[in-house]
Amino acid sequence: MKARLAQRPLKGSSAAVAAWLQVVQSPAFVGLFLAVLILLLAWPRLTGPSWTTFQSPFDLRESEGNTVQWEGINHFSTLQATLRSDARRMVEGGHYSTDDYRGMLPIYVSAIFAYWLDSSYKGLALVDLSGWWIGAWALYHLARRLDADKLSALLAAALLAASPLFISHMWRNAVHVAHSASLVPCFLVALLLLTDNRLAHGRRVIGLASVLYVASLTYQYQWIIVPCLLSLAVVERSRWTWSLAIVAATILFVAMTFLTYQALAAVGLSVQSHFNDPVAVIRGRLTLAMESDVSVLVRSSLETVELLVRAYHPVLVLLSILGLIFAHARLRILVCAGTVLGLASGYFGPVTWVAMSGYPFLYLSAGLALVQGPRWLAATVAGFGSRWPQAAARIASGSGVLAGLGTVVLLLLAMWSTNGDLFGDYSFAQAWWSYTHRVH
Amino acid sequence: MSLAVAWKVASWRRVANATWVPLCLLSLSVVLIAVPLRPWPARLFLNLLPFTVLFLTVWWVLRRVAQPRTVNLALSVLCIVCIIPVYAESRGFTAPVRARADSPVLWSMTLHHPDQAIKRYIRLPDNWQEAGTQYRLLVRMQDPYKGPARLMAEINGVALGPLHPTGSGGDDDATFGRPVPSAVLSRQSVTEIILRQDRPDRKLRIVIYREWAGATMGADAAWFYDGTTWHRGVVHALSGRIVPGLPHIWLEQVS
Repeated sequence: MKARLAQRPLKGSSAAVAAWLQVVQSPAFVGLFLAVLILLLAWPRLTGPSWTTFQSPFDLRESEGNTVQWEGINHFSTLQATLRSDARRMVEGGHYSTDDYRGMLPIYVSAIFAYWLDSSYKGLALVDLSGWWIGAWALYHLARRLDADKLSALLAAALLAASPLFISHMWRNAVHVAHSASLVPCFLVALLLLTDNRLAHGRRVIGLASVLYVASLTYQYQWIIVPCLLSLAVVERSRWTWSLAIVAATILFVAMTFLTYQALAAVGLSVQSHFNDPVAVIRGRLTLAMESDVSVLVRSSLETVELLVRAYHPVLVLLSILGLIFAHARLRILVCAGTVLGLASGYFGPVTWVAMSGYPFLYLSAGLALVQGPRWLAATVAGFGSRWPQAAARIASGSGVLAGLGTVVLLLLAMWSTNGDLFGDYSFAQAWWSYTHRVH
Repeated sequence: MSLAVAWKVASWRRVANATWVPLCLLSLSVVLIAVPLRPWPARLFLNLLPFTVLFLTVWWVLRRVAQPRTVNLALSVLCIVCIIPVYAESRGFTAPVRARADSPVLWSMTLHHPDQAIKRYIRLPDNWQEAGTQYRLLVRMQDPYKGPARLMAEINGVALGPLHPTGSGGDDDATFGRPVPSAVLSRQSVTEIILRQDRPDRKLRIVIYREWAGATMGADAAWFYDGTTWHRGVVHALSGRIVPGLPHIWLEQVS
C-alpha cells in the first residue's frame, strides 16, 4: 500500500502545482529550506530566551557578550589547547577526559572557526548550527534511502530541524547540537556502505569501522548505530554476511579506539573517565538496579517510557506510530530498534536527549505520517464519495487539496507543540528540562 | 608561444582533475601540520588526528557528489583553512565567566545602602508540602566573597539571618545560601524573598541574567527597592538603569 501511496499523484493538482512540487523537492531547495528554517528557529533563541533559561539560568556563563552553559568551559579549554602550544596545560588539570574525547572532531572544527572568526563563541556556535543543518539534511537523504517519497523526506527533515533535541542545546556552546546531529550522517554513511554491493568485504569492514570511529569522535552514537544495523540484518537476504561485516567492523573500531587512547597517553593526554561517560553511567545505574527491589525497577521503567514520550512530545510520538502504517519493513524495524534503544538509554541515563537516541527513525516515520496519512484519508473519503456519482467528481478533485491542507495542519501542529516558547508559551521547554530540582 | 600556453593549461587541467591529488594534499598537509608542532606533542595530536579524520570524511562525501576538479579544489581550501592556524599562535580567547559588570546579558549588581533591597517572587510546585520537600535558598555571586559585608535574607516576612558560602572553599564560595524551614515557605502561596546587605561593599556582587522568561512568576519575579520605592526589575550596573532581569536567587530542593 505504501509504495502505491508514495507514487500516487495528488488528485486535482494542476500542472503549476506539480511544477512547484518539483522545485520544492529538488536537493538544492531542500538544503536551502532547511538552512532558512534552522536560522528562523535559532535566531529568536539568541536574541531572546534560549532553552537554557528554562533549564537553569544559574548554570549560565558569560562569553563575549553572550551566554553559554557551564559545560562550555571544558570545551573552551580544549579549543584553546588546539590553537595554543601549551596544549597540555590548557586541558583541565593536564588530563583529557572521555567528554573531550567524544567531542574531538567538533571541538577541532570549532577551534578552526574560532581562529578565523577571532571568537571562540562564534566558533562553537557555528559548529552547532552546521551540525544542526547537517543532521536535518542527512535525514532527508536517509529517508530517501529508506524508500520514503521526497515530500515525506522533506517534512521529516523539517520536523527534525524543529526538534527539541537541537533547539534545547543551541547557544549553550557545549557542542551538544553537533553531538546529537552526528547520529544521522553516521548512520546514513554506514547504511550506504552496507548496501553498496560493489564494495569488497574488506573495504566494507574498514569503511564501517571508520564510520564508527568518526561517530565516537563526534559523540557516542556508535553504540546506537551498531544494534540498529544488526536489527536491519533480519530483513536482508545476505543477513549473515551483513552481520559478520558489522561485528568485524565493531572489533576493528574497538582496536582503533584502544590505539588512539594509547597515543593520547603517549603525548601526555591520558584519557580520564568523565561522569557522563556511557560506561560509567551504565555501571552506576546497574549497581543501583541490583540493590533495588522489583517495584522500584518497574516504576523506573515506566518513568523511562514517560520520559521518552515527554522528550519527543506526544503529538510526535503519535505521528511516528501512525507513520508505521505507511513505512517499509526496514523503517519499521529501525523505529522499533530506535525506540528500544532510546528506552534503554533513557533508563541508564534518565535525561530527555538520551531517551531520544533513536530519533532519526521516529522523525522519519512521523514525516511519512504527515504526507501519507492525509492522502490516505482523502482517498478513503473519495472512495465513499464514489457511491454518489454526481458528488464523486467534485470530491475527487478536492481530495488532493484536502490532503495537502491536512499535511500542512499536521506539520504546523507538530512544530507548534515543541516550539511554543517562540510565542510566549514556555510550558513544553520547562517540562523538557523538568528533571532538574531548581525552582526560580 | 600559444602552444606552450595551451600545453600548460592542459597540464593544469589534468592535475586539477587528477584523482591522486587528494592523497598528495593529505600527505603534504600532515607534514605541514606536524613540522611546526613537533615540540608540542599534545597540540600536535589534537590537530593531526581530527584534521585527518575531517579530511577523509569530506573527501569521501565530495567524491560521491562532485567532479574531481571540485573535490580537489574544496580539499585544497580545507587544507589551507586548517594549516594556517597551526603557524599562527593564537592570542587566546577570553574564558567564559559567571558575569561581567559591563555585559548586556549576564552582569552583576551590588547594594549600595542597607536600605536598598532585592526582592524575588518564586512559586513552588503545587505538591511540595505533600511530598515533604525541603528547600534551601541559594544566591550566586560574581566572585567568591570573604569580605565583611553580609547578605541578610527575609522569606515571607520572616528574617532568616545572614547567608553563608555553600562550598568548601575556592570557587564554590561564590554561591551563598542557607536552609529554609518548611514552616516559613508554607506561610504564603507565592514565596517572597528579600535580600539586604548590612554594609556596602562593591566586591559583593549578585549575578543578574537578562531573561526572566523561565521564572515561575515571569516579569514579576524580580524587584529592586531604592530606599523609598519598589521598582519592577533589576539594576543594570553599567547604565545604572532599572531593567527587566533575573537575579541569581533560587530555591533548591535538598530532599
